Amino acid sequence: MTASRAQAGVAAGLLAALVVLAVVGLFLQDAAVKVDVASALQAPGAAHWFGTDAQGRDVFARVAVGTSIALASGIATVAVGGGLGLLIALVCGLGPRWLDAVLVRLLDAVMAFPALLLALAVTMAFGTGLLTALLGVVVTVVPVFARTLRAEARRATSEPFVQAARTIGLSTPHIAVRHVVPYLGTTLSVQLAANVGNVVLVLSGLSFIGVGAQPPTPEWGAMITEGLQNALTGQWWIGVFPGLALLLTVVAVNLLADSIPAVRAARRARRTRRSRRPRPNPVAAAAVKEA
Amino acid sequence: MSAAPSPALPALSVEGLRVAYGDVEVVRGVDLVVRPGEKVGVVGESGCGKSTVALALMGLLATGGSVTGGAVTVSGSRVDYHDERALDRMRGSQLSLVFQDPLTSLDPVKSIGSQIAEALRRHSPRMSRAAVRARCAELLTAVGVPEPERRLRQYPHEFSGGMRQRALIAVAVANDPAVLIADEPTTALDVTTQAQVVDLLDSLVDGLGVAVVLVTHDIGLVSEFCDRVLVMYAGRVVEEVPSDVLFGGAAHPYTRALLESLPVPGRPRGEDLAWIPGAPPPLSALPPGCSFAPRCAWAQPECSVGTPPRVVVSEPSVAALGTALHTAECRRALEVPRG
Amino acid sequence: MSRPTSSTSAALKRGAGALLGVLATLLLASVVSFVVLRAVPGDPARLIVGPLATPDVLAGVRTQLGLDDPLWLQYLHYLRDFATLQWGYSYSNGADVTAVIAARLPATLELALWAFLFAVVGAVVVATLASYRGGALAGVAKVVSLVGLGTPQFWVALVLVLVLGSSGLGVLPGPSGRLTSFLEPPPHVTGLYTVDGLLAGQPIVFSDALAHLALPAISLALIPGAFLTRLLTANQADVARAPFVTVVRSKGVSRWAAHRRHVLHNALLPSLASAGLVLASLITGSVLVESVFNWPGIGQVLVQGVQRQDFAVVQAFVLLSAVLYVAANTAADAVVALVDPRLRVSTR
Repeated sequence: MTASRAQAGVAAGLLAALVVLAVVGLFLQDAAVKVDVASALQAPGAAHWFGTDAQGRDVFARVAVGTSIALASGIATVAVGGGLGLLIALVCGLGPRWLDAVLVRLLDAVMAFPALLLALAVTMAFGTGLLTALLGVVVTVVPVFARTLRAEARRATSEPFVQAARTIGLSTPHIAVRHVVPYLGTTLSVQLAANVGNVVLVLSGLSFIGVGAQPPTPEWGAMITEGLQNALTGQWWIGVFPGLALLLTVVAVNLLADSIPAVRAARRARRTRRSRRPRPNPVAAAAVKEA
Repeated sequence: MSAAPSPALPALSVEGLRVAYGDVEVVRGVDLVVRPGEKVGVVGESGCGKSTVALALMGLLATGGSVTGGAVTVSGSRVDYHDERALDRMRGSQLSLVFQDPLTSLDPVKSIGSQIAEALRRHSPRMSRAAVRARCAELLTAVGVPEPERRLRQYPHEFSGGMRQRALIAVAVANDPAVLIADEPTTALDVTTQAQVVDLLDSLVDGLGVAVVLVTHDIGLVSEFCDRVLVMYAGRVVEEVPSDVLFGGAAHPYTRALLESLPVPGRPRGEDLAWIPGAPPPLSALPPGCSFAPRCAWAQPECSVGTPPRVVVSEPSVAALGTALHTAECRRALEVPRG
Repeated sequence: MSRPTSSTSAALKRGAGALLGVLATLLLASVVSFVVLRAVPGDPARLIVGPLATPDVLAGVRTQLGLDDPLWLQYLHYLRDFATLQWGYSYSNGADVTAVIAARLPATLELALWAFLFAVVGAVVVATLASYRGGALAGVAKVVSLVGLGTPQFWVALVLVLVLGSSGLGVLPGPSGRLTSFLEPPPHVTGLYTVDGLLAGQPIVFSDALAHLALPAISLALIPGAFLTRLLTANQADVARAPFVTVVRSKGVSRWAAHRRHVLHNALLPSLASAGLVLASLITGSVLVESVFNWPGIGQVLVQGVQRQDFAVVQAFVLLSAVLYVAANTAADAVVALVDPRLRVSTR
């Protein structure tokens, strides 16, 4: 338990640092795109903490702006995709069986495509750019949420509290919102956190290939592509720093997702310990069992 | 392999065994002597330390547990619980274990034959393939599994619970061990299968001269099967009694209480079973003096002070096999009415 | 216990049901990829002829591609063409997409095979040591696998080139394709340079090919390796708690032998179910990593196709990846059914 709490602490600390970086980025948007050929390709130093790129732009400013882009787009895609996925899961869980069967097949078909490639195809179809890339990623996120939450929602329908709600005649949407959604809490929060990491990775991958955010935009994946061109001539900082930020973001989010179930379980255990009812005398039962 | 049954050399001798999990001592000085061919029962409620004794003797305590004191001798040689290699040599060849739950005690993805053969090969690496196969079939026959050749090729899921327990007994006796420790071997089985497995153990003792330590909560089973019974409470043996005097002759108040809580067929319906007030004390916070005193109907103020003495209830009769001593760890052992 | 006739027919029924499910999934996947690439804004004909073409030329290309047919007919043609390996012609240079992919496949296959080898061997070793030794080693393994799952493969590729490649320590070649330029590729047998090099008795070709492979294969192996490490560690921890392990120990088998023979064996079986995920990660990875190393495989073909707005290439590649994913999962299920005695059909 303590290990997972420490893990959650490390994750929260990393995320806090990244949020600070993202906020700093909001004030550096001009610096991030300011071309200054005179100071091109400077190594990291006091003037430019992370050095400058081929066009003299400050890499630190670009990484900071990239952080706000990554966090905002990661959270937005997961929120939209997770919401749609939750909706489908509730329809599957509480709706008619045939609809469930059809939807599950369709979800499986969508999930047969590797996330990056499906997102890439959708992005290309709607035209290259950061916004279409976000749309492409949403398409890959929806089935992940729908599929995992659907299993839980189905399980919920066989739990006594849902059956009881049915018996007293509550409407299906009411049951879904008031009884099933809270039941999905842990799974939903784990999926939300875990998918932010994946989404940020896929988005930067798309930009790296060239279908996501386009070059002047200080997006991490696009910056790594630019860094690649300078890597062999020794200007390592152009590509390494954005990748490091990307790695830290994904790891922090994954650490958080990994520790959620244990932390939530511990919290629930503390709560029940506080409100524990007196238990029936165990000895009488034991004596009978021992005989 | 098995030593000649000389009455002077016990198959297993345990003196003052202590086991601790972390800071908590769960076995607090257990003595036990088993002679070749003898059947000794260890009974008690769950959590009294009886299964821990079984695992400690095998040197297979779960992580965190360790033997903190005492001496164990198997067939005359002292066991060193820090020498893993020596322990590996001893396990399965001199000391064997039959486990509680036959459903989870076999590797689901290996054939029954290979799991028996593993025990043979470990201790007789030079045995030929054909000899191993023949011996496996012989063992399965000995434990009463029909069509051994076909059954050896099957997997655990193709065996019923009783058949699996037979196969596990075959594994345990594969190398003619001196002592077989059976930890609740029948608990997970249905009643008719239980009787068959007990009969099988009985016939193995007669046929192989193996000594058996039967660890169970089933006091009825112990009285039927065993020559001697050790009753454990809170990590100690509180009474050691020949099984033929167990009913009617038990001297320790705890043993009496256990016996009275047994349902007796034919007793009028509606009559409540006797039960023991309170719960066994947590081993991390034992009461001073006799651990049973707080629940004991005969307890006196001095019971809560100092360790209770070990009282000899009756000397063995000369006619009895060996030394079937009857002792109880209770200050008032001789005053408690027996009935 | 064994009722061969009924269990065989039950297994056949189960197999047939599974096969129908797989076909349904594949059909739906083809619908998805068709919808995504045909029915959304953006006119393939316009992309082929370019923005300056006259309406007549545009109409001609539309008819040629069957874009004026009703959608369902277009879908059927699409399905037929995919199934018969006629994946169309590149929008940008008119090359036969099937031929291009076939020519580039061995390079990617070789890369993916080595990456798979690295990932599986690495994961088995790390996970086994972590769960056998426990303690600090287990903690380190957990952190490493969590970090591994979060790594952008293309960035790791860049860092590896910077540190170990020609511009860094110079231990391994940088982004220079499959072989040093003065070496001739070995005689074509399998198309995999390492294998062909050995078959032809050219150790220099073999070692040079392997040196070129090392960095891209490691970059590619990272994510599936981290994933498998987590999975195998968790599985082994579960199995190690099972009572049968204590029974094995009670036979006198040493802890290590018991772990290797029984715990590892039982932990490996369920991990076969993630074969599809591992394959998907290798396909995705090859797209991201090949361009860093200038590796002449199909991943690079895709990236070039993307940059040239070449829908024919992307379309074939994307649907192919889904088919491979489904095929890998189906094959893994079949292997599990063969290997796991609990699922095996009694043949006696």
